[in-house]
Amino acid sequence: MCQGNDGKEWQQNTLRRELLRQASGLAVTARKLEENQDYPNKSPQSLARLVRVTAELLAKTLEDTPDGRLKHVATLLCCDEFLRIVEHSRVSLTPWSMIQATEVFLRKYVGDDAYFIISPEWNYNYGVRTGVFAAFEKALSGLEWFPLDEWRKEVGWGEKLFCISFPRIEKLNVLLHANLGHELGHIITQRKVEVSFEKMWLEKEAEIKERLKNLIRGDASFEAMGDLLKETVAEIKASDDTEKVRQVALQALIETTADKVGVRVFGPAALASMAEICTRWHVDINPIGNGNYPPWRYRLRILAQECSRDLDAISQNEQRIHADIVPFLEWLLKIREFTSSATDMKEIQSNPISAEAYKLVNQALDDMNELVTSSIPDEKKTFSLVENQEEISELIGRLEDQVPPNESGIWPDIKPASLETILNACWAYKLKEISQDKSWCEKNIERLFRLCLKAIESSYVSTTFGPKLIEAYLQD
Amino acid sequence: MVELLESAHIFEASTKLQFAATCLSKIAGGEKPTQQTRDILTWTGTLLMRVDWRRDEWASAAYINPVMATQATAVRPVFFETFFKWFKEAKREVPDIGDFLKLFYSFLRSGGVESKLTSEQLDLAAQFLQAFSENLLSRISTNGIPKPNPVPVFA
Repeated sequence: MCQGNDGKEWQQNTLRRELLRQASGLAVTARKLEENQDYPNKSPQSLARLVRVTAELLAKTLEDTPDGRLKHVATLLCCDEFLRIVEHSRVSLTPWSMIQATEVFLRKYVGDDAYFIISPEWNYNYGVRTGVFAAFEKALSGLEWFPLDEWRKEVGWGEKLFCISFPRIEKLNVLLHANLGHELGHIITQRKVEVSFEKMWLEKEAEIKERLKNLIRGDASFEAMGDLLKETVAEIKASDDTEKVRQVALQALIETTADKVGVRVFGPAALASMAEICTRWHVDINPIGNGNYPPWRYRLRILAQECSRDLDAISQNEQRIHADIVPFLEWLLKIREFTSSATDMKEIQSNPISAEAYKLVNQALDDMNELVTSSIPDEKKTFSLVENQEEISELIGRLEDQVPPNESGIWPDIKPASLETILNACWAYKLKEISQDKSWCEKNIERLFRLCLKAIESSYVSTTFGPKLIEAYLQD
Repeated sequence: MVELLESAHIFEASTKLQFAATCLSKIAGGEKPTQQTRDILTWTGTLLMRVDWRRDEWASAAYINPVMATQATAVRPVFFETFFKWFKEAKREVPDIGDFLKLFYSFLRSGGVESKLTSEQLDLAAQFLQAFSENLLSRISTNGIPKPNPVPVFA
């Protein structure tokens, strides 16, 4: 019955021949990239191996593939996009001086067995792909003829491989790379958010569907239909709407949880980098028209709340604040004022689907806060500018002398600056300079980027090798 | 961000439904179900009963794991879209669609063992599963056309 005579046999014979050629070509290309040595670490080769092994085994088992499943194999062979990530991760295309330091920083949260591919994309955005191996495994597990155990054995490790991307034209803009904290958030919380949401969805789906269906039944145009048509339309529309509610709510929880992780680890630098990047976009757009992402103003509000210790310190004038960081804090206060408008929430409430979704999001917020805290146990509090103001001020002094802000103190009593401290110092320095000269960026910003990148690299080197050098110096 | 694993879930559903469609055709032709066939039909029955929320059994979530619940929500719009199109053709063969679905789902849940459906009805059901599978697959493949522009936000 599934095999008609309407040309299917011709289509399947042609497809089978084409798939064999495509899979073999994909495997050859993947192998070439796998053998390339021009990568900052071994992760890109691992991803190339995943594609190669998948393509090779799909080709090898093509004879056993039932006719009706050839299109599924064709869909899987469209995984060549992953080779683009491999190709873009060559040393010459990445801000290589911060790659090792960033990897060490990320491993602190993700685990020593985690590997990263940090590569540029020709899109003005940051991104991360998690669960690449798991997604392949899940998809391949549906092919009952496919040798999954052999695939697992040949592909090797990979459970903890993460592909992080940044905007190609911002390669040098290390201050903006504080957005990588958000991507770290995806890595360490996304699966937990999904699991937590799946349980919640199981409980709430029926009532949400019922409310949406009632809305559809109450629609004036619906009343004009015949009874049979009414129920048909209600079923289709309610299914669609409920699925949209699920997508919008899940995306909101995934993004805001990742935002919270980002701001916990990078503090005000995370708020600043998100605020700066989103000024170019519509900040109140409804999630439904925006790939299900929460409005920017909504996200900035959450980040500003997380930075409230620093922001309250300056707004309530209760504490001595170093003059070097005041312009940065005042700029951040303006972001908080910007988020006091509820125009984003009005936009969300204007659509029953997003309104339903954010009802769910609000119910899940406490759970998500706990989830963030349990995911980064050493960072219960957000990195604070005010608490670290002495060190940050010293680093700003170095920047003013055009010296990389990689350490504080005087040799040999030095303390290498952490990645988060360097980024916050650079942001504070930038805003201090801009407060004195609005056109400062035009001539000086690239120098700041280079000093910052150098500082990150030097700090990594002195953290890793410094203790041995000091030991040798003291012995002499 | 969500897309990769979600696509994998939809892919898995599509490929298993296609397999189930082939199994139904074989059973309609007189073949006895193997253990592999029984497993895939049971899985299909569980998924469909969760997907089709017009069924009374839908309310009973005891045998549903949360992963399948979200998988069911993701495929549901395609299910109804496929169902109503298929129903136009099928209503000549199965005048009482409610009874037919009840028998069909219970047949699937039994792993293809307890059948009160005729071989013609099994063929009809196979056609439905195949169409459902193909429609799901088209949701995650580009179908040969250029991808839409990416949403300009960072993931």
